Amino acid sequence: MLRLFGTRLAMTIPLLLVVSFLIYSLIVLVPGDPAVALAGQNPTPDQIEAVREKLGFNDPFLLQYWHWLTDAFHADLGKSLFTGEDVWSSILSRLPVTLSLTFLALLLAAILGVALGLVAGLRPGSWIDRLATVGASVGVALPYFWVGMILVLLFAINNPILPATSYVGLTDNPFEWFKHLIIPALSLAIAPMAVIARQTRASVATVMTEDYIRTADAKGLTRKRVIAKHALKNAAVPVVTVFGIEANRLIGGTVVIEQLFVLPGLGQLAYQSVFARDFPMVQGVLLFTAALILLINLIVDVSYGYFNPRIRKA
Amino acid sequence: MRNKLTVAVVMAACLAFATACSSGGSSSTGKSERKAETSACPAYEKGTNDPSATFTWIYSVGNTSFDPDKITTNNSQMYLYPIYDSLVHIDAKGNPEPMLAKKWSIDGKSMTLELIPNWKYHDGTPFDAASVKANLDRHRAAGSWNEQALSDVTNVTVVDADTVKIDTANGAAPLVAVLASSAGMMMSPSVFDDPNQALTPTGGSGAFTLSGYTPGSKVEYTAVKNYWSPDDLRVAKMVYLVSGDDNARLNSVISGAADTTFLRASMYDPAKQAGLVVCEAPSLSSYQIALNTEKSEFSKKEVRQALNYAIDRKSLAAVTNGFCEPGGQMYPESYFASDPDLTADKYPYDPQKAKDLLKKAGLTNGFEFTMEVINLDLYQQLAEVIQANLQEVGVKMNIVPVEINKLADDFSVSKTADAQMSEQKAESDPSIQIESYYIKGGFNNPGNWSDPEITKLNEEGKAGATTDERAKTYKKLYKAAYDAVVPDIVLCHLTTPFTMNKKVMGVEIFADATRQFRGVAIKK
Repeated sequence: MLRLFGTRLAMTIPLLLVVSFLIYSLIVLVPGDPAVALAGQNPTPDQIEAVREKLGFNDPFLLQYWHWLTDAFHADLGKSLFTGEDVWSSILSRLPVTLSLTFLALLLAAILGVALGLVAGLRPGSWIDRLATVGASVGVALPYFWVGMILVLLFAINNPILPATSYVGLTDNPFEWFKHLIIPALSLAIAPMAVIARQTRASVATVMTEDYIRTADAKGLTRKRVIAKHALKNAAVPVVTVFGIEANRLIGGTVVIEQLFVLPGLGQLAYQSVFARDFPMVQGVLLFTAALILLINLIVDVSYGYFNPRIRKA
Repeated sequence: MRNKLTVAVVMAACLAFATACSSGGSSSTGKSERKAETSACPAYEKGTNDPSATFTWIYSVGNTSFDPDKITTNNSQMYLYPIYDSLVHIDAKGNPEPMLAKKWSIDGKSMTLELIPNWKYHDGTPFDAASVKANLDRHRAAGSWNEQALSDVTNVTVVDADTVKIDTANGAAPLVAVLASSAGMMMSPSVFDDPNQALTPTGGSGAFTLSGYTPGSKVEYTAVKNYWSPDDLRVAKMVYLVSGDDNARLNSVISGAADTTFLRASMYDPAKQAGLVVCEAPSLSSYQIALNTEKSEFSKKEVRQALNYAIDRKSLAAVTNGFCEPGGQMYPESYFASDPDLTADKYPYDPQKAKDLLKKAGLTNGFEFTMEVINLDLYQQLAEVIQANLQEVGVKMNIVPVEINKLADDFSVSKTADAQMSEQKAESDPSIQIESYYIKGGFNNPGNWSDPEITKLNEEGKAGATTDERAKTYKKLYKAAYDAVVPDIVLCHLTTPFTMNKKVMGVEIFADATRQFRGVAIKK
């Protein structure tokens, strides 16, 4: 397992470097010069040029990238061009909101998706299987923001039982934290739940026809034990893969959902920074997010080794 | 059969779900014509407020700094008003009132201000003439956000402990409004050199101190004790939330997470349907097209005139659902610095007259140009109406949607765009806007167009001693602008609607589009 972890980690580092270069290049190539906004009201060309010079925008591109990368290596992602706020501190202050949201969404998606997939996979061809399959197809097709708006209308506006917007910290009030996050988390969870349900259903249906299940049945194990010990563990590898992919997608989905529910997380920070042309903030958030996604992929890769010992030797 | 039944049940459920949900949503398509209904927001009723209440406002963008010299957007001023009082206050209608300067006098090129006594900055530093001079000198220093606004100031003198004299190069009159903006906000000189003031201000002079801040998301203010103007302080806390999503802002007010927000056209009907209070007032902002006279055929007066006649401003107002009244000059006729005779009727929709003018300019076969517009739906819808109008008179207008920041880049800095359509936001004094659009070297005048009469009247306007005197000059200036056909086609003047719950009192809609909540209150 340790060897597997080491190999995968060694592959992740150069990938992060490539991603960092792409992030830096794309942001710098985005049209619009923040120096125009920073130079004051109705600025003269000289004032704009002075700001560009001060911020190092006139340096050669590769030199700018090198400075940024070496600073990032020392955990210095720079300061916001507009608020002067430290990028790293901003990310850390927003992280709990995004983690709360994605954790709750993934938990909902995993519990509901696996349960639905399991029920359907154990009875292939039944009405419940067909209903789950149709539901999963619809769930995959529904955009996060649309689901969010519908849930707000149903549970916050028309029947005001849950808050429509804003956030309360977990340490401030756990119950209010849950109340404020349940609609956004559910909005985010619908699509991954559907995907997980579909994958679980297919995996379970396949595994249940395998010889070792027949053997387990023949040994006289109870149905519950056969499912829990043999079927679920063997069906887990493809489900974990999907879970990893969906976790990555969810991080992207938070950009929209945090806007819609006024949640002060990384998604909202990224959205606002892009609109303001706050390059250091956008680059910092994207680099951090990319690292987070690579970490999730690493965990998923390593988890294969747990579920399937043959992979450990690969 | 079972398969079909399953599908039918799911389809029916989906349909019912969608129908139920849409009934509570927006009914506005943005196409129905609505007449602007000016109405004041509920006024403060003395003695009915809860002094321990929190007032929550939700806006679309956050601030960039809490230091009045370090902000980089006009919107940031909104977040400064609770913390810093300014020397002058401009009321909701645009009239100057005393604030930290209890009175002032203007003598041509100088202005003398008499300050309120016995007030201290939040850090305990006394508020006096020396601190005012220090602030004004800091505001006008190179690199300050307020440098441009105070560029005409030549000297600031302390006359005595409570009196300050400001000298200008061209006229002190514009200073009255300028000193009501961030350029007149007073900050404790003890913290001038502290970079932390940008995020954690401690040297304010206003009714509130900052008690919590999540950049781009939430600002919390707590009332100061023994405020110098207790009648203007009626809540214990104020919270400003930020969300760029229109629905989220409206939902916040409907569900009680916020008390008040501003409305866009598409939010108006849902706010009314939700039973919220809706109030609306004209603003000094307009939608306009700025032309680069170095590009295309715009240097010809007849061409600019033809464009004015070719555009159907009433159709544009309909596209905005009545939130933009057709206009024919920089400001609505109600503003002191405008010509009341220059209504939208001065440029009636007349395609034939436009064609005649183009013919007169030697452009019988029309011409082509490219207009950059902000990449938001409404701007593009407006641009498409204009495109169709111009097509009718033989002018081909290509529309290029761009990000708002790139618009200024292309039109004002690199000067590559032929024309741009955007919102013309009111500056603190008309002279600033006039210099930006009508005077050689102006930020929004990349073609360096100029007219000697307008240039002369602009100087006269800056030297005017009283509002009445200046009003007469500006009336002449806008008549001259009409006669010369300035390269700035005003389409319509915006109104500003607000919505709030029924407990909020004392919110005022400011004509200059500033968001100030001085004296706001919450019912017990």
